[in-house]
Amino acid sequence: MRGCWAGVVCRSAGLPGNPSLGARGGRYLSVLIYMLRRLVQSIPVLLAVTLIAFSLIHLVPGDPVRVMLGVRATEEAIAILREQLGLDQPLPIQYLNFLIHAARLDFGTSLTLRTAIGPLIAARAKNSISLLLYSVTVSLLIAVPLAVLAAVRRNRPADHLVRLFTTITFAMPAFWTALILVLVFSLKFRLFPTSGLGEGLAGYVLSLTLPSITIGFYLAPVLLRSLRASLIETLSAEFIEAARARGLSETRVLFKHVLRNSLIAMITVLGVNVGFLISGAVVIENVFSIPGMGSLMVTSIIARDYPVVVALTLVFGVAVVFVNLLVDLSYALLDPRIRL
Amino acid sequence: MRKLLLVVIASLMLMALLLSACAPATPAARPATEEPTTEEPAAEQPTTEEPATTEPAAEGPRQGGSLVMARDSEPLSLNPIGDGSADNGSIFMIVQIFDTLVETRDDPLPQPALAESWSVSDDSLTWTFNLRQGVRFSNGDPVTCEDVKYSIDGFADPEVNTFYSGFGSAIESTECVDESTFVVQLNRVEGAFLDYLSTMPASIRPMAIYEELGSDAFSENPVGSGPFMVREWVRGERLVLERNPYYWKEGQPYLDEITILYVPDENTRMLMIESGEAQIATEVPYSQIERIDALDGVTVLIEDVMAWDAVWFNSRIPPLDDRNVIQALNYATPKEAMLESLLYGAGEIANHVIAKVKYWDPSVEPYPYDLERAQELMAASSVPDGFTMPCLIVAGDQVERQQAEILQQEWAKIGVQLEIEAVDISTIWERWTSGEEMCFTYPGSGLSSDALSDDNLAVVFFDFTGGADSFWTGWNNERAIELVRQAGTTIDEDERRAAFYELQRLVMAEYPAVPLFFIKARTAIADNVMGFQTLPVKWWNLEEVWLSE
Repeated sequence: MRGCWAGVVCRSAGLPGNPSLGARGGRYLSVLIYMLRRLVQSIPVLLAVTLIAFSLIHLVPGDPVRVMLGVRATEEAIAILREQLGLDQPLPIQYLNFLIHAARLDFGTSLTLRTAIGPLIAARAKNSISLLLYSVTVSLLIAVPLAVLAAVRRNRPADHLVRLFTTITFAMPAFWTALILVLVFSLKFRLFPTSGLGEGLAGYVLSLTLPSITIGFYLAPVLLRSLRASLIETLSAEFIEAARARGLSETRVLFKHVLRNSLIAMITVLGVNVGFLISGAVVIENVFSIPGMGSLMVTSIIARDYPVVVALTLVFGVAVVFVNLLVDLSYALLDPRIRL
Repeated sequence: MRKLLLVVIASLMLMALLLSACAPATPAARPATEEPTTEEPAAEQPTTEEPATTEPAAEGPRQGGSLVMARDSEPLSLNPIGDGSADNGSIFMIVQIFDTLVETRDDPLPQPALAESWSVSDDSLTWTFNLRQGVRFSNGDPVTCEDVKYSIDGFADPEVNTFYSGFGSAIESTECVDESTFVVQLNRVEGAFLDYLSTMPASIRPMAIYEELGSDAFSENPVGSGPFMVREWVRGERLVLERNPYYWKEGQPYLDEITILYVPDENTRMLMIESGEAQIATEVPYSQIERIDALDGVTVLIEDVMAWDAVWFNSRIPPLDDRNVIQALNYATPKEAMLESLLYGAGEIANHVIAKVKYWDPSVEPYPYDLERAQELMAASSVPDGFTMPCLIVAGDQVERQQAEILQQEWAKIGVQLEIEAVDISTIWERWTSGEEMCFTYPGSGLSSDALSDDNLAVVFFDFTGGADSFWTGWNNERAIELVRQAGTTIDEDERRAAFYELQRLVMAEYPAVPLFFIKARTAIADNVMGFQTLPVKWWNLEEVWLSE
């Protein structure tokens, strides 16, 4: 296996030259080792990211103590509050403190919210991830069938209609789309709540539906275009002609061979967008009053809540690394020619 | 494939149909439960003129029920004192959970709360409070004089009372003479002392619990003697308050439960009251007041509060030290027109540089719009050819941006080139308090008085020695300093009024600012919500709210 790091582990695991473990076992192990290797490689990246975030947020003008005190910002009050919040220590010490605690998963206390940051982020992460998963599902449900349709009926009315429709939804600004959806489906038809998160599983899913559709209106066109282009390219490949010549049904050709070979480009695009949406769904979160990580980041930056900003940056960094890892793993899954 | 195509086309057409069908004008018919008449949908009720307060059924307050309030801000902390609670999001909730010795209502003077009565010594330095007996915290523990002393001592300690240390700074010592008598010794005469005791940081906390939990944990698990207690708090989403069974006001609170939802987007907030998901929605956007008020079953209350909007200048930077320039800017501002176009009439032209607090003199004239006069003043000033002035505004606020653009246009007519610099809230405070900026304005809803009397604002804005350089305008006026001191060192109402009246005239004539409007509270409430009122301090006594049928 190429790229076998930590030779001892590989040898004892029965890789190159030892067939006793079998191909399957060897494959699982190589995946595991690959993941571990990637995670270790990501540590310097995450360190750099937190250092940059920490530096930037401190370099930018603005003082959380002054924001909190507002009109009452007398010099005396400022001094007392700075000391109580630990902001009077030199910056490198503050950063080191953060790192030491973060290694133990203790992210400290928010300056403005006076509560532990770990649970705070965890609660928000749950909402952001749920919204993300739901949005991706909706987007795929829209994009994949439509892309197949558009590719198969290339340059015919169906294709034009699909591309026109998705261009329109892509161009509509998110907050406008959100409001229209709410006006129609919440106010007029009373199918969904106008905002907030619902109670219980059913309520929760219901309340995330309109936000997910709003995100889907932006994400589906992006996925669709990429998939359509790949499909068109694959459809004209020689092995597809060969498959048809062998007498395989059109449906089988389409879904088993064409689609599977065209997904890679779309998955790359999906990965990039997911990385963005983890923090970037701020407008949606705001309009629908969903407490997610994006809005927490925005309010923390505005209030200069340093520990929250740096902790969130770390979480986003880990999320992006993880998503990239998943995307790379999926390549290996989809295309046997690709080795990890 | 053909079938798939047909399905796709059909759904697209359906979508187009639905989108075109949603003409925004017709509001959704409200569920017919509220209508006292039959089940006729409330399509055309042209003259439902009755304002929410004159209720048809004179049955008196009804016990029970729960309501939902959609609010524009959320509590950061529920601890009345300490590091996190100086924002209105927190304050307005804390006052529902805790009590103070005296409370603020719609009255110029604080009213008895945990203190039934009080007396003051002849030298005005010793205040004796008779504590109400039989009051309990929401966990059943009795409120003792020890708790009161603990709380007021904390209020007086700048290390504990980090945000409002000025309010408690006159307190020298406190003593529990007996279980029902609490004595406070001041180190100087303080005219606004009772008002300061009615503010949120002077809330009475249970000593044992506070000591055990510490300030951060107490914020997560607050225990007070106020009308409500916390049932559930999900940050970023909602705060659910339920009735405090031990509350000392007979029969109150009327409601069993109030859910306060955090809905930062103003459109979404209005949609919630429109759909009936919320019965109260705060901060109605000016442009939507008329539309929301016209909805069936909803009224928009516009109430006077102690908030205001103005533009401040740094008198340490020329030519802003020239009185002619300041007055010219005032005369060149078309406030009447701005009131209509910016605030849709829901405001009042300001005749004071601070809010309408207790000692406000309505007879003082605001600056009228007089472009000629403005031009004359500029010609006579140190900069007859005009000058350029960068001005800080808060980014992201529609009204602020529009207001700044109007001022930019109007002041250009007298040769003043305004350069709008929109920055975020942290940056704006940092830059303005550095004393190096020329001009600054802040959203009207963001500046309000925390106490019933003018002192807390006067000290910050008009007293150069008050710790904030006259709100960083650098205005150093001996007479103003003297008047603030005079008003603050007596408890005689007439003397205080006289001093503040004179101060108002003085600042209108000489203070480096353009006062614009007194801001009003705009709240949308459902017609079955009774007893709701926004107090001048901007919060509400939610124990008085009840639902009719």
